[in-house]
Amino acid sequence: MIIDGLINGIALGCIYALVALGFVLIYKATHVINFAQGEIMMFCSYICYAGSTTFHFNFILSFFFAVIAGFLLGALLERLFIRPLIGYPILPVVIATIGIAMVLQSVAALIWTFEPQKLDPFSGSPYQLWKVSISPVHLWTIIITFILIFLFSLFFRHSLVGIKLRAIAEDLIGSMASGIPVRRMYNFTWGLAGAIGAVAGILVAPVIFIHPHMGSIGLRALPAAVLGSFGSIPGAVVGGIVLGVSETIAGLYLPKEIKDVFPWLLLFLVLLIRPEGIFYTYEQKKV
Amino acid sequence: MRTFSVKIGSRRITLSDRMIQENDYRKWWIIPVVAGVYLLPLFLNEYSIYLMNMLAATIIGAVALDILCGFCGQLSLGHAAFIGIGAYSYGICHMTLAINPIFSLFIAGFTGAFVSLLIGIPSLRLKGLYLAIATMGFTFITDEAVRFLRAWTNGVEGFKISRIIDIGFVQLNSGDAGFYYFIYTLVIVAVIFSRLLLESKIGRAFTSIRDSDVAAEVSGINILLYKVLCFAISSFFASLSGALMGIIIGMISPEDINIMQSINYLIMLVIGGMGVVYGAVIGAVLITFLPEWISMLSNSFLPMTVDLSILQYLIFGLLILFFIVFEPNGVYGRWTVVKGYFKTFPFNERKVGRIAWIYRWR
Repeated sequence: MIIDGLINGIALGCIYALVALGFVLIYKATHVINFAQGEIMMFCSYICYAGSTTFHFNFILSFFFAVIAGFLLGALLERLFIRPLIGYPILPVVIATIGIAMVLQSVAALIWTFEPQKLDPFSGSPYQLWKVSISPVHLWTIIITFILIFLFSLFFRHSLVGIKLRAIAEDLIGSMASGIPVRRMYNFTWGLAGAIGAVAGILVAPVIFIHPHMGSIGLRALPAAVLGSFGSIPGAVVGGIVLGVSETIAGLYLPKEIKDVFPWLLLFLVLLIRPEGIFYTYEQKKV
Repeated sequence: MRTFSVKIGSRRITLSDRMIQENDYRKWWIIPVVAGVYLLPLFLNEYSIYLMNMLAATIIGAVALDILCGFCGQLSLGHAAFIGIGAYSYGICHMTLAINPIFSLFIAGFTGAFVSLLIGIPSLRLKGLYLAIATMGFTFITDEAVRFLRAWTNGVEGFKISRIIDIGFVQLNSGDAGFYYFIYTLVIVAVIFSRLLLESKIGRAFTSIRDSDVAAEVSGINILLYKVLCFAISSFFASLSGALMGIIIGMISPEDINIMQSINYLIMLVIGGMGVVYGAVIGAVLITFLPEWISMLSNSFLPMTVDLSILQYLIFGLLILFFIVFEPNGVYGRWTVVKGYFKTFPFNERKVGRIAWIYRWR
């Protein structure tokens, strides 16, 4: 039972890690917490659903369709609502992301109504690996997440764009001075976060039904980002998996009320014991 | 910085090359506004008085959030939790323990302030928007806690609160005009208190933390102390407003504690204008009456198939985006720009007032 809990927890943690990765990417570049990340996730899983039911694509095609749509959606939102706010303090920008979340949620409700929809591409009997049965959804979630994280680490370490993004996170003024197109990179970051949100949304859709309020699942990944020191990419992954495993294990032994708010209790625990998170690096700021 | 002053009519205006400061502290418009507020129930029917009482509780809540968000620059998404805590602690004090209602109101406020210390001290130690995340989590925790503590809070069915309040010499029913005078006195006290707070030493510390926390720390302000103090004052007023809301509605249930409610108060601040108390009041008035206008308009223009709550949600989201992108200082900010234009008429460079207001945000 504990092994099953562990596997479920890792699968849940992978989804948390993907959503937290979306938060962290945007936070690293712009120091803004994007409260619309969960709603981008919801919207993209609806797009995947529409791809496979309305346009009759097969699943692989609608998956990539939704990921590209997520990239375009993120970039479009940045261009429309966040770029005019460059140079503003952080507070109005964060409030603008809340506004984006509201608009996305109500648009999804207007198009697809509040009826929960089912998107289950990984149906089938559980696989047997050494006496442990693992359902295909969980297996594919774990595989896709790890491939994605591997690609991401390659991207950030070796590609020119990834190095530019790291430079912007390190020193904005310096990277501007050395000719990095900061605005285009911001746009790209939002697109990347949208694409990751799309993957997370499609992977979480078989577990819970697709619903306009599904974005609140995304908000539950915020404690994972805090646990891994907001702004660190390996931190987001580790934080997400720790959160997922501990939530699932806690769900086995503790009452349901505690399980529902477990990420938030963990958040307060982290804030009390080690508020900087696990992967904290010291940074200084000029006035 | 060069300065010079001009006299136009009865006003004396100091102009500098940086910004405009108005030396006119005689605020004559306060007297007609207060008189108008107190004379209004003579012309209203019962339902309108009920709406106005709700509006008053909302105004206190919006002013409370303005103290936190507008003065100190800390984002809170847990305002609804504090409103719920205020209503529940008033209900438990007054109904279960039978304490005097005035005392119960204060106990409700101080409960909120105490709880805010428990959340504020861990999460305000850090720079950044950790308070927003922590208060958001706190909203979910409060919701579950209310359901969990069934013995005290009556769980999902909701807690009934007496609509009659005994203020010593007279008993007031929350639907009557008498309660209207009581609650609007509280509103005026809250608005004047927060205006005075803004111009006091503490308020200046708050605004300096908002403008640059590093600079504030360097100039000797204890950031943690002032942030926590700000959160406590804000939570006190939020809980007070929650208690009043509980009296007016006569009922509080865990469904009232959700993020949407908190975001509603945030929308009021954005639309009205942050950091000046009047902005919160204007925003509260607009947002309280906006749903009625939306339903009126949609009845006349749209087919019946559109769900009103979705439409309202969409319009609120678009309003936030519109105001943040085009006028981040809200209706009140736009009004000061217009006012500045006319006051400095011969000397108005086009952007003077605008720049002064952007300085407030920086």
